[in-house]
Amino acid sequence: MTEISAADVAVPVVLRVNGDEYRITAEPRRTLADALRDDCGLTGTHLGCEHGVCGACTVLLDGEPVRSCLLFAVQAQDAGIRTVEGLAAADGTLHPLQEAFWRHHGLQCGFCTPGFLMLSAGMLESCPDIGDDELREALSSNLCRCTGYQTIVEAVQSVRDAGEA
Amino acid sequence: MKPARFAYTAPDTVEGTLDALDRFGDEAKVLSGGQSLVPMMNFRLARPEVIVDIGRVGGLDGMSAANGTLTVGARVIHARLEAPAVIKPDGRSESLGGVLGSLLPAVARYVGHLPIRVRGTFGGSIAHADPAAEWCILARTLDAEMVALRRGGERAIPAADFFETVFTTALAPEELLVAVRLPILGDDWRAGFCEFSRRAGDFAVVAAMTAVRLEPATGAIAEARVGVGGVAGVPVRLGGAEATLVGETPGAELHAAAAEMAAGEVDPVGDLHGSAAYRRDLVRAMVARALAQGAGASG
Ligand SMILES: Cc1cc2nc3c(=O)[nH]c(=O)nc-3n(C[C@H](O)[C@H](O)[C@H](O)COP(=O)(O)OP(=O)(O)OC[C@H]3O[C@@H](n4cnc5c(N)ncnc54)[C@H](O)[C@@H]3O)c2cc1C
Ligand code: FES
Ligand code: FES
Repeated sequence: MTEISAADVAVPVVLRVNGDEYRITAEPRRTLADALRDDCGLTGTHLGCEHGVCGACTVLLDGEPVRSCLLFAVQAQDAGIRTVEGLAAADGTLHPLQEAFWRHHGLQCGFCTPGFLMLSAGMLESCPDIGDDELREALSSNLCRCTGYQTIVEAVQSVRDAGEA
Repeated sequence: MKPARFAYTAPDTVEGTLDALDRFGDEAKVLSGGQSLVPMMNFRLARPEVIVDIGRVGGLDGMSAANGTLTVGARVIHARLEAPAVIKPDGRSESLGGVLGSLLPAVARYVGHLPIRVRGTFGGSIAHADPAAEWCILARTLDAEMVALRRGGERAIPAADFFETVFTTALAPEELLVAVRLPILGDDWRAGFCEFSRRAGDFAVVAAMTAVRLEPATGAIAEARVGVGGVAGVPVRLGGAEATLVGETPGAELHAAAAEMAAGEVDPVGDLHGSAAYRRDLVRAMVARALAQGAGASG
């Protein structure tokens, strides 16, 4: 019989985030989003809706953009995770997408920005020549209550056009 | 919100999964892509005692074609159906051609958004049985067969018996859906799919799929299937619209007549996404467009 983790016991979980290893303990019900924020101290990943609709919690799991509110930390054990904290260089130089969001006014309050950045990073890394329609459709995954989206689209398009992501 | 507490197990074999399901019965829930179950757990609409995570089980994510049937493993993610490929007996991968090979990607792009499509699974969508889910409409329209395993037994459940009501299927708590069998539509078939939703990636308000087989000699319709979602607790087939089509030659007038019949056959209930009358109008429009798409006109 396969091992079973009891509901009320925190089990050891190793998360590999942005190249660092975090050894945490988590109850099975702990979402990856909560584990990143509360156990790893990586609060750049935001939680808006907690049911998969807003995309604020988007992180890269083995290169794919996923909703970290819909994943349990125990499921992410062996995966490579990337969060917004891993985008800028160690010396603080912004990632081209961060630079572009700033230049194109792709954010106002900034709550949705980590999710949009990770979604865009995953999208451009797997599909650097993505067409305008597909790009808009992919960005429709996430919600922003401030910008009206056009500036976000322009920011991501500019990075695609410069071939920088 | 946060989910209620649950015990967790992640078997790496089908046998281990069946053992766990057998042991915990209706206290357990299978976790596949988590794109429907986890939102329900976060809302506490679902409070399973035990989660059986099948994400590590090998052998459930294959796609193969034989004897006119495409077998799609339950763990195949939506994104893979955007460019469906099958593994040949010699181990090579080959993209799936033909009518089904074009239909699957056309439908897949309507399922949620990119981050949903890389986690959510075909089998998860079928087992979840949302009446507006694209894959459930496809399964019902094409008369798919769901392959369910339990400890010591296997059965194939036809789509007509599988979907019972909203979020409810014929699967027993001890059963694991392992694959879905779809007919590979031959070159004499024409299929179309059309959906209306308010925003890209949302569940359909109404969606329709049509598939007709043409008599090679005459070009008349020998067999017709019209399925719609979003109008009842399960995806439904519209026998009247199907009968309108059979024996006739495809064309704008026939399509309009079948769509009219379809709109008269459904009995939708209005909700905040659309009144009953509005949904009826959508059925008319979606069926007509799916038929036109199948016939090669722009939908
Ligand atoms: C924002 C958002 C938008 C979405 N939009 C759409 C959409 O437009 N169209 C659409 O169809 N779906 C949509 N979905 C749902 C998505 O397609 C899910 O992936 C799918 O419904 C369930 O698949 P899953 O693998 O995630 O299953 P899970 O969420 O893991 O499971 C769903 C249910 O099926 C059961 N189950 C799963 N696999 C099996 C199995 N092999 N055997 C037995 N039982 C099983 C589970 O126990 C559970 O009850 C959306 C989801 C989100 C979050
Ligand atoms: S918080 Fe995860 S999608 Fe909204
Ligand atoms: S910048 Fe405020 S939500 Fe997007």
